[in-house]
Amino acid sequence: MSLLGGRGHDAFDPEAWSLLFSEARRAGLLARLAAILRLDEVGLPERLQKQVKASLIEAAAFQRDVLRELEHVQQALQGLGVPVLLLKGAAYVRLNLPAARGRIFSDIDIVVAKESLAQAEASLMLGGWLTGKLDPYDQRYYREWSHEVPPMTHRRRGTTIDLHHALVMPTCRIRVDSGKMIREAVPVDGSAFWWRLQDEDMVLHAASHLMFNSEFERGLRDIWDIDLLFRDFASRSASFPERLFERAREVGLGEVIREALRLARALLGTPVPENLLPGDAKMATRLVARAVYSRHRQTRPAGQWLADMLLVSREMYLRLPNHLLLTHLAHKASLGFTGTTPHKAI
Amino acid sequence: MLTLSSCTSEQLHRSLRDGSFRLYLGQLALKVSSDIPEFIAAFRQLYGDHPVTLGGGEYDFDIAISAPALWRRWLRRNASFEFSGDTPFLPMEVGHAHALFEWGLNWAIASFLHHCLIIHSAVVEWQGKGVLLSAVSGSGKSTLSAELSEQGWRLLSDELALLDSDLKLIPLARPVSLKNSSIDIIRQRHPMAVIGPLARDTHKGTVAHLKVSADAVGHNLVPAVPKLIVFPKWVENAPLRVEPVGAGQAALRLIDQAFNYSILGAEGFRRLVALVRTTEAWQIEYSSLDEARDALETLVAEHG
Amino acid sequence: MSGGIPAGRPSLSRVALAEALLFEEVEDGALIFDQSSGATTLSSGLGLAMIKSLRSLGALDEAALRAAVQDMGEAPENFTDVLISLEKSQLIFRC
Repeated sequence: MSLLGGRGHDAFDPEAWSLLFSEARRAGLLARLAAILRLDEVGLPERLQKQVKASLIEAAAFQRDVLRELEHVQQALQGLGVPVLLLKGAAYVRLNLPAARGRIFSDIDIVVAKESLAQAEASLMLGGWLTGKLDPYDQRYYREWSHEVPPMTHRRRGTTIDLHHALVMPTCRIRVDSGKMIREAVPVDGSAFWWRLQDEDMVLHAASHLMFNSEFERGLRDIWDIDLLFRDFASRSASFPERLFERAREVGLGEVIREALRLARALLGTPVPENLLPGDAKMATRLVARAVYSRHRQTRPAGQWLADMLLVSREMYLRLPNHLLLTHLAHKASLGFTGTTPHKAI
Repeated sequence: MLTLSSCTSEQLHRSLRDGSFRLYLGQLALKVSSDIPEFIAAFRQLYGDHPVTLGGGEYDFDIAISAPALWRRWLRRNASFEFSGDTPFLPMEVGHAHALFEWGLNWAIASFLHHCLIIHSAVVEWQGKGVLLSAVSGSGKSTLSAELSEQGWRLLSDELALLDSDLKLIPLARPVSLKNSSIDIIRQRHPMAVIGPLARDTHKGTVAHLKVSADAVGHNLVPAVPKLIVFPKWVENAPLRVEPVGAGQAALRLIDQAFNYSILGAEGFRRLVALVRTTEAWQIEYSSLDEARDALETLVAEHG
Repeated sequence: MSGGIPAGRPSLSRVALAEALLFEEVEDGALIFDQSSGATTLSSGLGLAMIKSLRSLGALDEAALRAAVQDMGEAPENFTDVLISLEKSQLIFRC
């Protein structure tokens, strides 16, 4: 199909690349772009190659630090004799999944059983992680309504752990059987300590994170995670897509996964079979239209950089284009979810 | 190539407004935008010899010095440092905008150019030999590099040493940031030196910038080979002391002053070891700039 | 295990060098980069002799390590202190 009307990354002159890089860097996605699209191998001008190289060096440092930090966490919690479930970025890195590539993040999300939460918090404190100062309202919010202990930051290394006992916000309006997802987690390479969600549940968790989280600027990164997870698992097992939808129904995330995969397919060309998820190409076309406007920062429409970035990606490896946060917002509105207004509306 | 001082005021103002202005700082190309007259005036004065283009093109960093949101302007005229459209720092009053530009640029370089090992250090060159002057803030590093620059040394940077994978020092000649009493010291010693507007009461006290020589700017694409590492320390009334520093000790001190050593990991270690193995390290304690310069010239001649 | 070695205890445990160390000798000692922690250490004198012995001989018990550093001309007066400090910086461990 020719949503691009024949325009591809070769239509990007060095200035357009510079603009794209600048905006991707702002969104924390330059390294992801560089790693997934193998931008170090596509013959960009030297100046841009250096930026690609620098971003890949930084991403490698993040991965190294995460693995290092996981060893510290293990040291701190091993004595409890309880399994510890790794979520999101830390899990991708520990499992060396494609979704870890170029992913810049700093927090480590772990889950322990609710009855072990207090002990785990105490052990982490002994290991040097301290809860930052929160006002009483925040403390209460966290402990009563959230699925987390307030973020704990290591006093020397400055690294942050989010300690959870569940997967999604209990206040959200959809009833999700996240307990089932946690109960059916599996050990990471035979370890009795680290656990991970099943393949299907990892995608479901990423999808619910996308749909329930208020970090709007992270939206694209989350969709990209979903895409990379889906491609990876589907390439290992042909029945993965079916199992994913079945599992989603089972735990109450059927609507969430459909919405998330629609976005991922429209934007990143995620290979979700048509029979499982009937198409909606309108949005994609609309969004590609954004990319043909002026590329000048002062005059370009907000969000055009996303379109640009996705265009490039589509051309070069994935098959994708356009925008999404609009849809994200629309979706939230339709759920009646009252998240905070994004400070940079797109 | 066109230099900033050869642009007309109209060209410059238009180009800084419409996004077509590029400043070349050695290997770095900066897209600079601004509509703040105070900044533009200081920028013109201090970067007059730097190459620029007015026709757009590729760039490394997108920097704007601009007025923050309207409501703030009622309180006081402020300027923001925007990086890729983001404002990582609090706005400052317009009279400090040129200092904000320099600080913001240091931040951007230290935060993103990880293909280089970046060390908090001045870099100068004498008789073709690159010298790192690494010191903690307040040890007179900028004053010393300003003095050397005015005495005919080539200045590569007064703040940041960029060591690339070939162990070359990447030049970034640009205005030298002088603080408090060092402004008058340089002004008295070098009455012809071009010093930009004073920014008073910043978080670093009073700050002004020394324009670097056209020659230093002209060599901004020529990397230097490191031949000497010096840890300078200004101590009031102290007699000159020059002492060797072991390679291992020098490495630890440079790590302490490095911005991205941990990001580079093993590669940073290898680069640093290669540096201290091929480059002697010395520390000097001084109170007189003349003595310090003499000592440095002797060190370069005998050990560089 | 990291609590130190009581004086006079018979040295039963063996000592080994941590894995993933980059080791570079320079004029005033050796720079050691621990790839698992990212830490850089400058080691000299007795500590350096211990590390070199463990590098060339593999894991040793304390008595053998003590003998090895003496062979290298280092007086083992602070042997235990240096051992503990190397252990604390995770350059060596007991096995």
